[in-house]
Amino acid sequence: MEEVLRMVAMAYSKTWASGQEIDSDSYLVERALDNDLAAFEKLVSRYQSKIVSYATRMLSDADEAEDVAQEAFVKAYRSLESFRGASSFSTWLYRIATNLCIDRVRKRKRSPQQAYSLDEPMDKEEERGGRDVPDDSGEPSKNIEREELKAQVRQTVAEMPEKLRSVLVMCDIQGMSYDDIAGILDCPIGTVKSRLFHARADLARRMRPYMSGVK
Amino acid sequence: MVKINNNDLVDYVDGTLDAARLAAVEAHLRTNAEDAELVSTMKMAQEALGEWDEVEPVKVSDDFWIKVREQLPEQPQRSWFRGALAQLGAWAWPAQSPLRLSMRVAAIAAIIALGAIFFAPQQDIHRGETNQPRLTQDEKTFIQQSLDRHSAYVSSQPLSGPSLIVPGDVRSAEHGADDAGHDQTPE
Repeated sequence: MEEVLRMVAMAYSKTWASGQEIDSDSYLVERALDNDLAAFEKLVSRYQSKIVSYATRMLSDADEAEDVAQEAFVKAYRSLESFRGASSFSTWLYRIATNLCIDRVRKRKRSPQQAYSLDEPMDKEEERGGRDVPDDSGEPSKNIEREELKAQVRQTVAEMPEKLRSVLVMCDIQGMSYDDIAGILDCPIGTVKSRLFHARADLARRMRPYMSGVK
Repeated sequence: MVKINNNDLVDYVDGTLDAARLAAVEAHLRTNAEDAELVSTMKMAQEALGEWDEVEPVKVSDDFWIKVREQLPEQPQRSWFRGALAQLGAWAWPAQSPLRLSMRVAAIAAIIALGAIFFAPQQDIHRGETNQPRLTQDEKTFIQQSLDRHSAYVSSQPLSGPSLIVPGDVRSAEHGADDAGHDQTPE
């Protein structure tokens, strides 16, 4: 009965959609279910940056992150029918992306370590020409310390257990609320805060040596 | 003394504590140097994380959608029931029709009318009965017996008792209270 009511409600929302509703995620999902590819394209363009960014921070590999993000959208499209509407589309999409990222990380752990070629540059960023960060302090030593600190932050995040990393990325990088994160990870808010504490404490512990110079 | 837990420190760093809890955490941090340092470092870490996307923005390739589209199946899987419902909806309610409002009003009126027909109390014209639940044979028998017993009791009682005051009967009005117990049957 509940299922029927939900479907009627969704059909109703589709029927009477107007103005802002036409632009809403749930309306676009309904249109996509009616084989409207343009509606799904709109959903993809709406969330692609966030999902790619999230996957990049989770996997520390831009190319792999884009693969995962594409996979997340394809998976979402395939199972649009199962999208309940109980949570928002973005929450549901993030949940798919999180699971895919965790799968990738586990696969990496299972597979043998990569062999590095001595001919290849150590850092892909260097090969691409790197990034120009403006020097606004005028103190080279302080800048170096700051860069070291940032590098340390990235490395620490990359080495964190997936459960802690996902919470940290969603909260401190993507700026999501505890509620949204709890919805994506399907766990209580208390668990989100607890993981956040451990992730931040781990980060803080590794950052301590750099603190004095950067303050 | 208020106990401060890890979640309070997380909330403190995020600035999501209420005033009372904030004061308690701040008092705790004044007396606990270790936690104060931890919180300070956490804030710095959070700042560094927050800048990450600005310093190192993630770029999405231009052909992202094209790559996604290539991997999409012909059509998302949809159950027959949902499909039928969608078809029905499309047939019943033409999308973007200027008649949408009037159709909505008509639909609501029809629903109210149907509700009135089905749920309003109906009267059986021929038998004068309502659609209330009918009595069983046992219940009817019980009521009939009760009435018979009551009639028998009433007829067995002598015609004596307190006087009745009949409007306009001056004698009864004047002596009613004193004459209680006397036989004053109105003429």
